[in-house]
Amino acid sequence: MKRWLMLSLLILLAVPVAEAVTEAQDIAATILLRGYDCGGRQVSQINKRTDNRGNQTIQATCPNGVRYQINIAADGHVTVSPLH
Amino acid sequence: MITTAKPATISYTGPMKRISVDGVSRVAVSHARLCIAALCLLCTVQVFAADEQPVGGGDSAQVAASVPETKAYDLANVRQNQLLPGHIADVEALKDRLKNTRAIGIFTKLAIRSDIMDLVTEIAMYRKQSLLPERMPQVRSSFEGLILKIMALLEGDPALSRDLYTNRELLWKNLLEVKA
Repeated sequence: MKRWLMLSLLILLAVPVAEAVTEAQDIAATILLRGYDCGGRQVSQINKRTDNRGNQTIQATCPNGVRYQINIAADGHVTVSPLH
Repeated sequence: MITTAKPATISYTGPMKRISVDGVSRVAVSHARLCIAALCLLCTVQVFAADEQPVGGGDSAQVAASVPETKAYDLANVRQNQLLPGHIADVEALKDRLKNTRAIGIFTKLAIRSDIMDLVTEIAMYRKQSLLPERMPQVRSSFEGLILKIMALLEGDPALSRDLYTNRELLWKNLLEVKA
């Protein structure tokens, strides 16, 4: 009985988690939104860093092999550029 | 003078009984029929009362009576929106839904916000240069493109995607009103 209860609780908790997008999917969607080809819906090799002014820089590789840099300014402005 | 009451005479049997006392005819309704009639009346009163109550239930009726008329109007709008899918009364509700949706991540939301701000800045710039009427088709196509992009990203939230599309005219008007 206790086992069944735990299982149903796990399913109930797992459903909302499954609905949320992962960081890899989120970054891929941002790249696609800026009009760049990614070749898939998830990126890999994510590197993030934030400078002392609050600007965030993310580098990630798309399934097509192209590596992109996403700059998120402290005011929320987002730019994407491919890395060569 | 002492009068003696005559025994009641029952003219026919059944739920409605005619009883004759001292020559006066009276109609007595049986207790069962009275109870049923009272229950029916109570149910009718409750149905009419429920139609007039705001969303939230019986306890909120007093609270709703104390709020200003605008709030009551908002409640009515919310109720109407629940009845009519695809219709959104105000842009703020749509904005909140876009902010809180789990179908897109935080970076994508920031990118969308950034695109909207760029569009607002562009409109303000054209307005300042008195070029807005000329550039309107261009700005409108940028807006339509942005709506389509957001819709494509909202695969996991089809209701929001549909509402954005059906309310795009409202969003467009709201965008033109924003001061950069």
